[in-house]
Amino acid sequence: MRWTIKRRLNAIVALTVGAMLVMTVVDVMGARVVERHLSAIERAYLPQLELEARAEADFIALVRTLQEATNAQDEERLNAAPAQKDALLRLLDEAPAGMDRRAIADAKAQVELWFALAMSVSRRLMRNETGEQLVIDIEQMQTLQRAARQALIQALSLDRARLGEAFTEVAHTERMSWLARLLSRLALALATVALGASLSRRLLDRVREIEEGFERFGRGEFDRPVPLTGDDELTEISEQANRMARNLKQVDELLKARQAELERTNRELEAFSYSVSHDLRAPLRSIDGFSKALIEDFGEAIPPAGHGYLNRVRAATQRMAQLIDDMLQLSRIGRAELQLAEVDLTALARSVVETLGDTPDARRVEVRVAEGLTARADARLIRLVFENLLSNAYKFTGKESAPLIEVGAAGRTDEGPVFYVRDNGIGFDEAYMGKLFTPFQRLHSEKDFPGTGVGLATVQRVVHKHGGRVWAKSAVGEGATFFFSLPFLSLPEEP
Amino acid sequence: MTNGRPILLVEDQEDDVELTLRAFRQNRIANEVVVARDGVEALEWLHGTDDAGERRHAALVLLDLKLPRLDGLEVLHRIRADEHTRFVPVVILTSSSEEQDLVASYSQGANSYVRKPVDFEQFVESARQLGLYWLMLNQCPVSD
Repeated sequence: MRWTIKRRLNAIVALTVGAMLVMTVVDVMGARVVERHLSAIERAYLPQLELEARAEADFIALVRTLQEATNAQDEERLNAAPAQKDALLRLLDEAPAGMDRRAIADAKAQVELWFALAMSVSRRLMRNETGEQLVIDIEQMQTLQRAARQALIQALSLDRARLGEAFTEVAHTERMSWLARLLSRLALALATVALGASLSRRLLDRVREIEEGFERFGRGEFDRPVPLTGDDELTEISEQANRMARNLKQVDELLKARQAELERTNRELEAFSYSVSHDLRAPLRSIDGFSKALIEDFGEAIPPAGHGYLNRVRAATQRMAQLIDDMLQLSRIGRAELQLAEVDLTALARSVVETLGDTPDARRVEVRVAEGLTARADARLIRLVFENLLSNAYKFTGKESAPLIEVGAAGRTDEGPVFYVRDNGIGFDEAYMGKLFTPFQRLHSEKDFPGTGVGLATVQRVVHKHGGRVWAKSAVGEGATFFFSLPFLSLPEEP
Repeated sequence: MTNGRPILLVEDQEDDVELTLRAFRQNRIANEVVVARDGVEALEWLHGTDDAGERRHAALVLLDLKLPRLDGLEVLHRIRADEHTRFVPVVILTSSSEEQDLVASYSQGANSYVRKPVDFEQFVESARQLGLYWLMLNQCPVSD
């Protein structure tokens, strides 16, 4: 039998209900015992009480019959008296069992004695006799009458002591049953509390063990499982927790292995970038240097077209060197560790704006940077975002008569506050949005707008590294707006 | 006279050697240029003696980082560790612009760090400024 928590709880409920049922039955039975006792008392003493009352009443009625018959000189009435007396005596014979038979027999004899003398006296009085003997007889009759009445009462009177004992017994039974009810209820309450407390303590201990187990798992200590005690629902939960910990441990080990692999790959990539920087640039230097040497040393022997070709060779090497540098910068962002601090984006954007006009063909461009832009970001990396977005904006407003660049905040999305850089330049077709942030992808010809096509890829990489997102809105000829979100950041506080 | 001493160019790429010499010529830097093809060769020259049996002194060492046998950082370390060569000006001349290379070079006591430009005209300009600064303006304590 598995003592599950459900079974334990059911057992406690069943025990309580069962005990209450038993107590109810015992109560009913106790009440019935008392009732039976009371009705026994009633059966035993009520007829006796009635008999006592009737006998006394009948005796008084008999006395009255004799007196009235005598006073009225009513012979006929007097003759009915013996029948009345016999009825009285028969009543005595009907006395219930358990009464004093001898006292009844004595009472009957007394009644007979008195009645005989009373009849004789009555007849003599009706005949108007007088004399001393009559007076004596009357006195004798009155004495006998008192004695008979006394005997009747004595024979029929209730045994009050026995009645009291019977009631005391009932009261005792009632008291005992009351005590039993009280004690049984106390015992039930104690048993329920004790069982409940022991169960709850047991459960709480186990729950704490499970809780501690989960805390350990949370810290990554998967090798110390939840101890398995008992065999109930909590044991199942503990087993599941331990199973989960084993799985997590596997996942954890897998992740660590993956991480080690990634770190190895990253180191390899770093070594690759390093050798790219060294080894790809060296031949470029040779190509450029010896082309220049060719022009310098043998320039006169080379026809003008040859000079043109050599210049193209040199321009191509410059461009390739730039591509390599851009590629390296992109890979450096990927490898860089974020150093987060509160950055004043307004100041940062303005300092970038100041460098925009550093080229020989500088133009006047109106730049508006919103006040109070701050962010929690890596200042060095976020500078690259502004450098690229602002130099793009500068570049692509080159053909505007009133070029305008705006930098500001555009509220907050689920991904955090959003900032934007907007220009009123030539814009682009949103159909090419997918290519926009791909490295070395360009939407305009090199001749119109020079560049290697890593600018926006750099922007995207920096923003992604901050956990944010970058996107753009534009139409051909209607300027472009580049948005980026920075989830670590907070919007400028309202003044 | 410091500036009359030879320049030690430590460079394994033949093209780079030729381009460097050409840049020096164009800038009329008259010092003798000794070329070492790897780190070991460079140290051997620095620790050796000349024809007259005197210890050699370099006016300037131009040191590439990526070298066969002994790499540039190790060469630099040994130059600084040696009583005889510890004050010789060493300019790192390399293709790399990696932060880690810059930090390592200066930690080992490099006097300067120059990235070789791809554009030859810029390269000539770099050589000119290096020569002007390290051979004409700069003064070094005389060791030994």
